[in-house]
Amino acid sequence: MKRRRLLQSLMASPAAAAAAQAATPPPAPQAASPATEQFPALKVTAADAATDGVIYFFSSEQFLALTRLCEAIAPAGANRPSAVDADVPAFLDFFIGQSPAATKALYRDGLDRLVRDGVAGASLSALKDSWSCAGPADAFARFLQQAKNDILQATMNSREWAAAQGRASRRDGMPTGYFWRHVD
Amino acid sequence: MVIIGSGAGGGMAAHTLTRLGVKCLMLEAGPLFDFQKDRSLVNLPDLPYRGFGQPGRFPHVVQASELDAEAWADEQQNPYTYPKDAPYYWVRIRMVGGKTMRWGRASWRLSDLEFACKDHDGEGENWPIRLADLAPYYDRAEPMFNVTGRNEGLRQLPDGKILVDDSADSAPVRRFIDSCKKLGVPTTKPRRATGTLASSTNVLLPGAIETGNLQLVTNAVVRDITVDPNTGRASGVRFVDRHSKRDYHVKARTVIVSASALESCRILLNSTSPRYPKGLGNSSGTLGRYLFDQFYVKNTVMCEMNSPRGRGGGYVVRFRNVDKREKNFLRGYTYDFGCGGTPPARYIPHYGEALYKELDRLRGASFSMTTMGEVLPKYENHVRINKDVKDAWGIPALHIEHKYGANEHAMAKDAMEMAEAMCTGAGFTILGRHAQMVPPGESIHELGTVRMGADPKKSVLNGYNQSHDVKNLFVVDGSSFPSGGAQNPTLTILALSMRASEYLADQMKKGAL
Repeated sequence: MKRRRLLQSLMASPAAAAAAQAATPPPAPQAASPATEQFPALKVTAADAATDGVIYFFSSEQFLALTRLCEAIAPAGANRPSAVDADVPAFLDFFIGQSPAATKALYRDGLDRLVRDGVAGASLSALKDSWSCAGPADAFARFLQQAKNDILQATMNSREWAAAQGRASRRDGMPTGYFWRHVD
Repeated sequence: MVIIGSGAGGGMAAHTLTRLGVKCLMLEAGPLFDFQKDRSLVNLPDLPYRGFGQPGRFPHVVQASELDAEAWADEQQNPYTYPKDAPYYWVRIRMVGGKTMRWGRASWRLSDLEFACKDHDGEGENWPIRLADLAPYYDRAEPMFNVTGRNEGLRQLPDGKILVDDSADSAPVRRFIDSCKKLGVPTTKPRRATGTLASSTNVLLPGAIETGNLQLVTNAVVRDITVDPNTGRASGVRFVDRHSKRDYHVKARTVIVSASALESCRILLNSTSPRYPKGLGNSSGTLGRYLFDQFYVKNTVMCEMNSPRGRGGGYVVRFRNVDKREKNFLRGYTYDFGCGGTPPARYIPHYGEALYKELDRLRGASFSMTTMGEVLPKYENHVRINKDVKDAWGIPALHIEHKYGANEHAMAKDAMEMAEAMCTGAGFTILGRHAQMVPPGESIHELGTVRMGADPKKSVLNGYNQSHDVKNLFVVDGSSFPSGGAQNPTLTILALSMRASEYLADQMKKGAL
């Protein structure tokens, strides 16, 4: 169970849950007719919607700096979750941990510098530089630019973002797409 | 008749020949993908990589998304090499339909500026055919793919048999077109095949199979083409089953190769014999040479539109070096343009609340242009077999060497400056501009290496896509192009394949094959 949902369930009233169960008696079992029997479509849950991933790639200091960077780059707003609400630090620990060596080094070195200098306005000044195709020459500035894009995209592609957008527009905010299955 | 490949070229060959009563066996290296059954609607946040895709899975396929990753050929199973300082992005699809399963459907004709390019500016080689030779086949291919667009009567962009797109342009598109007019630059509507899937699998192959004359074998990875040592003609095709790795040989009266430009060249280079020690049909020594594509500069300019905003897009027609020689480069370029999205966050020099405010302000305000430029075919840009590297089926891999030269760099710089002039003339604010071409290959318009030509000493194929050396061997994909302009090549591949197939059937009827 996700940490946030565990808190919510502990706060729920056991009496209310019992009353809800009593109000909706279970349906009587029916014999399945071969002619009408259909294979049921079972609802399944993605692993990261049910629980938290294990943090394995970044050190605890680096992970804390990444969490603060996420808060700085993508804070919560009226109709949007923060990157931290959307579990982006944990996702990036997983995602960068699987990335090519150059990306891993860029992130680790960049986060080490944030551990040293702190996540403050001065250390993030490169994020206010204008875009150039070649990108910044400085590796720390390149890290910040990539982290900004990654954090923003991971936030906007989260369930939490979709839910907030859905609440704001009164429509289902869940983005969908056609997935190509593996065919042999 | 054996046809290698089921994409635009192979699909059209099968479609054409089976209707003329020719029995065909088609070999496709990949599986059959059912566009209806094998795709499912998913919630993007449920994807394990949140839409980023699995890191490092496709280092050379920027087009692969987490949704369609299974569509693209696996890079580990299908390795290739290139010089350390010249990366080549070879983008492949191995399934029935080939790259028509994921193409952008842009469908332009080439003009005599391309077919007779040497006559025009002295560079390169002319094609052995002209627009008049291919026009009747363009005329038939366009309606098959329900191509829409607008005919403009321009010599550099021939009119087509197309469904007329007379839809109204949005206000910002009209402002942009007016700005282009002031600069003497022609524009037109996009011209593209219609339908969610305008592919060989739904347009070409069903009819071919219905005739009863086509057998389609999937998961058939071709090793090489065998030769009768007495006649020097192609005698059949050796292939290996993708799963079991069992080897097969199929006899063939005629072989049509259309495995995509570089795969076709690879098959011919791997088809060596005492009679053809340098590769099949390579008496000219040009097999593998004159590799080119069309260079892309993605988002040459990214702009913020002024009000009123709107959506839509279009195409800027080639305007350089058409009626007179101008600038410090040969040939020309085109652009796709589009508007109505939100500029990517990288263009916005803020973070936190300020970044979100800018993204809100710029929602629907983007106007961007992508340059597509002609690349000069050069002898030194080539592919060859790398015997040290083999694919998952033990077939020697390709080594690819392709660098853009001074002409392409000068063209890309001019395209950036002109794009900026067009956009500022329309009142747009430039957020970013650049002239950095994507690596060769990334446009997925790789062309040449088995080029056609009038002179057998300078080319591999004649004007009917038929080998000069091996009369019962035809190559009908983009590898046959001697030059390619800046127009997307698929429509020309379709027309060439149809023309070659009708010629081939006629030759068979006459007993010449």
